[in-house]
Amino acid sequence: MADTKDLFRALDELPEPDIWADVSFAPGSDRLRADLDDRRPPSDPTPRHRAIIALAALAVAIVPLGALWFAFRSESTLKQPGMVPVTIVPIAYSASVEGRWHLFTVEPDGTNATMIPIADLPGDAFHPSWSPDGTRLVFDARVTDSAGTARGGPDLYIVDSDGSNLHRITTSPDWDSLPAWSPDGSSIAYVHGHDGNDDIWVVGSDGSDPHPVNEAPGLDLLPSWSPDGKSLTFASNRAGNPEIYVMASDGSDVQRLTHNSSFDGAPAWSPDGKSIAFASDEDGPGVYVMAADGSGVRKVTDERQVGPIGAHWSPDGSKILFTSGSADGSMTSMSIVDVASGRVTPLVGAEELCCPTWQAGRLPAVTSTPEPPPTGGSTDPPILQSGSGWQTISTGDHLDDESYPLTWATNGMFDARDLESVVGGAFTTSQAPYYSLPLDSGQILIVAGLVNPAGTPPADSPTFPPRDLPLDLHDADVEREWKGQPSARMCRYVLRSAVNERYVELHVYFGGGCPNEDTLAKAQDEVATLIVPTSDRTAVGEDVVVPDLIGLSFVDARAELEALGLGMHFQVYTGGYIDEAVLKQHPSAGSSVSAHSIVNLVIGPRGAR
Amino acid sequence: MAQDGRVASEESAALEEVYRRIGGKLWRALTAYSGNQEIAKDAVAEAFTQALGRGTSIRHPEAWVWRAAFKIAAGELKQRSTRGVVETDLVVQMPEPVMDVLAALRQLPARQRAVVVFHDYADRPADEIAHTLGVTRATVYVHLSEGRRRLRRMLEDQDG
Repeated sequence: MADTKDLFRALDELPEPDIWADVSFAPGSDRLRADLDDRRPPSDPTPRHRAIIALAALAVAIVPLGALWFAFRSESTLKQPGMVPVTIVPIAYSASVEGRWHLFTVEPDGTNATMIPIADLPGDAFHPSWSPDGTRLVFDARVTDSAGTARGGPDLYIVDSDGSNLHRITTSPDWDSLPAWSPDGSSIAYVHGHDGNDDIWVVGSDGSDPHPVNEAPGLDLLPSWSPDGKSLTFASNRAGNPEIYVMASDGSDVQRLTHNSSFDGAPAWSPDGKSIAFASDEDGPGVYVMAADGSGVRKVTDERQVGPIGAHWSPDGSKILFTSGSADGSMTSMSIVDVASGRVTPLVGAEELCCPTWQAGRLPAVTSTPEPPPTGGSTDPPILQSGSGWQTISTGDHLDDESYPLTWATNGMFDARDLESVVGGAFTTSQAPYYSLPLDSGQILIVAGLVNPAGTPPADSPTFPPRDLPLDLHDADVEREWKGQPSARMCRYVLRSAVNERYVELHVYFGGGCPNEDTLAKAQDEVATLIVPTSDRTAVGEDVVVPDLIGLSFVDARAELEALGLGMHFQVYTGGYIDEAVLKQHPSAGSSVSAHSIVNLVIGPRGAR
Repeated sequence: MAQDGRVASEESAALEEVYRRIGGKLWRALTAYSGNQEIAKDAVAEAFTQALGRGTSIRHPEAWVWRAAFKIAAGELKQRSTRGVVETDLVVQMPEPVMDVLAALRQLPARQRAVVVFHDYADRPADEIAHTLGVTRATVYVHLSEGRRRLRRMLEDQDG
C-alpha cells in the first residue's frame, strides 16, 4: 500500500514558476491584514495550572455543543428611511468561520445571515444575548493568544449590534459565560464558574458589582429572566440530575420544577411569563414546554430531534427557536417550531453554529415552504461517520512528529501531551481504541475498550472463553453523566469482563441520555459481535503512574468533537483510560501499569482479524 | 511610513532567501491543496508581498508566509466556489502522476486535504497546521489519519 508521502513525491515533478518576480515591492495592500496578522492577547493570560486550563476547556468545549438559550424580550421597532416602520427581528448567533467563532445575525426567515464585524475580538465569541432595546449584544469570549490557544476563562463583553464599541465587563480569571441581559437592561445574569462549581451571578450592564445570586454545589447554568425581571430560571445538577429550577432574582426561594430521571436543561421563560420552554429527553430529545410552576409538561417537537436541543422564544411567544444536530452529525441546524402545531421550519444550518438568541420584536410570517438549510458551503463529511467501522489500533500506527512524541490512536482524539502535563509528567503513552457507529436513531454508539493486562479479573467477573467476549448491555452498569453543561449529558454502560484472564472493560456511550429499549437493542446487536483479542505482542514500556484519566480524556474528546463540528449528538469517551479503582482492585497491577501494555488491543467484529 | 532604505532592503533580501528556500514547496503544496496552479501562484506572491509590507513585525517569516498563503488560497477557493467557477486548470500542462495526485486529493474535504498536504507533503509541523486552520493539534491528527486512510483507499481502488 502506497504511503501518502510516496504519493506526494509526484508533486515534485511540477515545474516551478518564478513567483518572486511577481512579488510586489510597493507597499502591500492591507486588505487582508486583519485576517493575516497574529492575534495578540489584550492582556497577559492569568497564570494557571495547566490542569485547570485543561479542565476549563471542558466548559468551552461544550459551549457550542449546547443549544444554550436565553429568554429575552421586549418590543423594538426600527425605522427605515423613507419607508413605513418595519419591525425587524434578527436572530443573533455564533458560528465558526475559518476556525474562529464570530457573532452573526440572521432574519427569522433564514435570510441575510451576516457576520457582525467586531474589531479586536479577543477570541472565539459565544452566547450572544440582546439588550432589551436591540442595540447591543452581550456575549462571552476567551482571550486567544497568538498561537490560537485560549487562555483563562471567558469574560463577558458588550458590543453594539454593528460591531463597534466593544468593551469588556467582567475581568475575573474564572469562568464568566452564558450571559442573559435583564428585561430592564440594567443588569446581566451569567454563569460564574470556579473550580468546577458554576453559580448564577449578576453584574451591572456597566460592569459594576458582579456578585453571586445563589451559590450551591454543582453546576448552575443557563439563566433566563422572567419577563418582569423578578425571577430567573436556570438548569442545575445540584440534586444530582440535571433539572430546571426557578428562583427570585435575588437568589431566594429556589424551587425545582422538573422531577424526573431524564435530562432537563436549557430553560427559557416565555414572553408572557406563563411558560418555560426547555430541552429534555424525557420522551425523546426535543423541545418541551411547561407552565412556569412546572406543571403541564408537554413535548412541542413531535419529530425526533437530534440533541442537544435548546429553546428560545419568539418575541410573540408563538414559536420557539432551537438548534439541533443533523442525523449524520455533520452540521447544526437552527430551526423554529410553531408551539401550537409543532411544525418545524429550518432556518440556517452550518457545520459549527451555536446559541442563537432572538431580538425583541414581532415575528414576521415565515415563508411557507422553506428551503432545506444550507450546508454552509462545505462538503466535509463527518469524520466519525466516514470513519465508522472497526478501528485497528496497533503500535505501528504512531505518527512521527517531533512536536508530538506520544502515540495517538487512529481516529482517537486525545492529546497525550496535554495529559502528560495534567497528570504531572508521569504519563508516557497510551491508547484506547474505540469504535463508533451511527445508529438509525441519530445517536452514535461509541464503544471504547481498554485492557489492563497486568490485572486479573475481579472475583465476580464471569469467565469467558479466550478471545471471546460476549457482552450483554443489559448486564452492564449504567451510569448517567452530566459533566459540564447540560448538553453534555450522556449515558455510559460499563461492562467488566475478562479476556485471556485479563481484566477488560468496555464502555458503551450513548449521547443525549440513556437509550430507549429500541436503541439499546440495536446497540446490543453490534456489541454482541465484538471480540476483544489481546495482542500477541507485548510491548512493555516503562512503568508509569497513571492517575484516573477519565475526566481528562473526556475533556479532550469533547474538545475535538466540538472542533470537528460533531458534538451535537453525543459525547465520546476515548483516550488513555486507566481507572485507579481498577488498579486498587488488582494489587498485582500495583500502582503502576505499563502504558504500552494497553496499546495492543484490537476491537473488531468477529473474524475481523 | 518612512522606512530606512537599507533596513528595508535587508528585509527584502531576507525574505527572498525565505522564498528561495520554501517558495517551490509552498507553491506545489498550494497547487495540491487548491488543484489550481494559478491560485497557488497568486497566493504565494500575495503572501510574500504582504510579508514584505510588514517587515520586522513578523517574527517567524517562514511560518507566517505559509499561513498567509494558505489563507489567501483558501479564501480564493471559497470565493470561486460561491461564484460557481468551474475548475478547468487541472488539464493544463501537468505531468500525469501529478494529475492523479490532484484528482485523488480533490476527493477529500478541503480541510482534510490541507492537513494531508501540509503534513505529509510539505512537512509542516502539526502545531503550525493547527494554528493555520484554527483547530487544535489533535484535530489535525484526526484529519490526517482520515485523509490518509481515504487516499489509500482511493489508490487501492485504482489498483484493483
